[in-house]
Amino acid sequence: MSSSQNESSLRLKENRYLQASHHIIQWLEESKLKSDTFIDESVEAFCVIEKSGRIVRGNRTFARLLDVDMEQLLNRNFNEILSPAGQSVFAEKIRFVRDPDTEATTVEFELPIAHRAMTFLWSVREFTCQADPRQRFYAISGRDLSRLRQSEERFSTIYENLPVGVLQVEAALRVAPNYSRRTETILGTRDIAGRNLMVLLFRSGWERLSDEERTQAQLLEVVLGYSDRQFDAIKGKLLRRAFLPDPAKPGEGRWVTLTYAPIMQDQVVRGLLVVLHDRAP
Amino acid sequence: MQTETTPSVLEGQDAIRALIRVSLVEGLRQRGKDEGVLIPPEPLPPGPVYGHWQSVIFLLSPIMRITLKVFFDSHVSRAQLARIFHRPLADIKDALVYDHMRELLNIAGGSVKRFLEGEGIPAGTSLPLITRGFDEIFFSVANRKDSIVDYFPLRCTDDSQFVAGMRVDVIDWKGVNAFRWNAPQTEAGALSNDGGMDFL
Repeated sequence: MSSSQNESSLRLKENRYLQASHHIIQWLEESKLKSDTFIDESVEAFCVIEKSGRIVRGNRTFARLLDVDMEQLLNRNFNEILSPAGQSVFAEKIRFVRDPDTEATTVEFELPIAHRAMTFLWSVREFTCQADPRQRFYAISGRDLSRLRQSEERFSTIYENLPVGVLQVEAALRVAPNYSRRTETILGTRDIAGRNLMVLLFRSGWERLSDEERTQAQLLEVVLGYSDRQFDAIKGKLLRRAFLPDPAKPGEGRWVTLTYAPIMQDQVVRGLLVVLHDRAP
Repeated sequence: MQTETTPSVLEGQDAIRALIRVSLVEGLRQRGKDEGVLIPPEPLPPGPVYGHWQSVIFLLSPIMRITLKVFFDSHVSRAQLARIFHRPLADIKDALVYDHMRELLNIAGGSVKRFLEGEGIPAGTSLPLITRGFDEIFFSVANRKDSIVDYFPLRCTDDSQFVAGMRVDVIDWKGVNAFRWNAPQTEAGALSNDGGMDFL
């Protein structure tokens, strides 16, 4: 083979190497652009900001909060979507993730969007860029909770206006803050939230219960933590009535009937829904 | 309008900076069909992310590795293409915008390569790449000893603006310091936005 043929062969080989390298670069560029679109089109709002709040990257959902195109997010400030009070809360959360004494790298909190009836659950994570560890950035993602909150409000309105007494007890049989308004009428008190169910329902009328009924009442103290099967086995033995004395008429009062529904989580009873029906004295 | 006068000889880092600035300005003039492109005296906008997108090209020579980049927003490039082709903005697809900006870097990279080879320094160029401007935070360099870093705005006649940048990773300082370049002297204004050089 002549030297010119050798050189041509070498050039051809080099050219193939070059073509192969170019091909893999094009492939990487394309896959990078496509994977970026997953963030761009995410239904969750996403942005990266500097310490000052300046936005250096954001997706379409976040851009909609500022009524701008995604490419117009650069140099806008995250604080623009928050009220002055919200900005203070946000600054405090940033300080929290920056605090070297806290081991948390991520912080989650709810904040409403200024001038809009929207509430987001925000998650903030701090990171530094490899090239310059002095520069700190914050990756922020936000989930719109507005529809969830609206549903909760609607449900809460229905719950509060039920024509029966309904309350929910959680760990240690404490009554949860939300209960139907009728519960206050039935129990004759507004001091309900946070109280222990046994005290609230049975203490004042304990003397009117038979021994068997007292045992049935005490079963309530052990059902939290039961499996669904254990609860099914015991639910028929739970006390079905409580006597509520009338403070104005000593010795008199009225019986209310009780029904219970377990609040299950991971097949374990985590709480009870207690329904109180008025019954004639 | 650019007017050639007597060349001024630059040396070392200044020569490399100027060479790259001229190549990027000329690349945008040529690709954007706009002889009025210049480096304005205004300071840069806040960095390190200067645009939603960036077009990047790499050059390799025995004395240095060069990264050239131009940050851009697609609406600016789209408007430029619409003007060049006399088409409505809606007709300018994203793919065309990306090709336009890749080609700009191809021209600038090719120009740097030719200048280097003219001084007897062989150089190879990569394909130009389009990536997110945000990716800059993973690659930006602050005060690295063996790097020459230069970012500057490029303004077109219609006042639209890009930000260009270069990073030169020096392999052989002796070779870099010995580099000489006859910069074309023009009267179109200061090339440098920090007042360092006057040759465009």
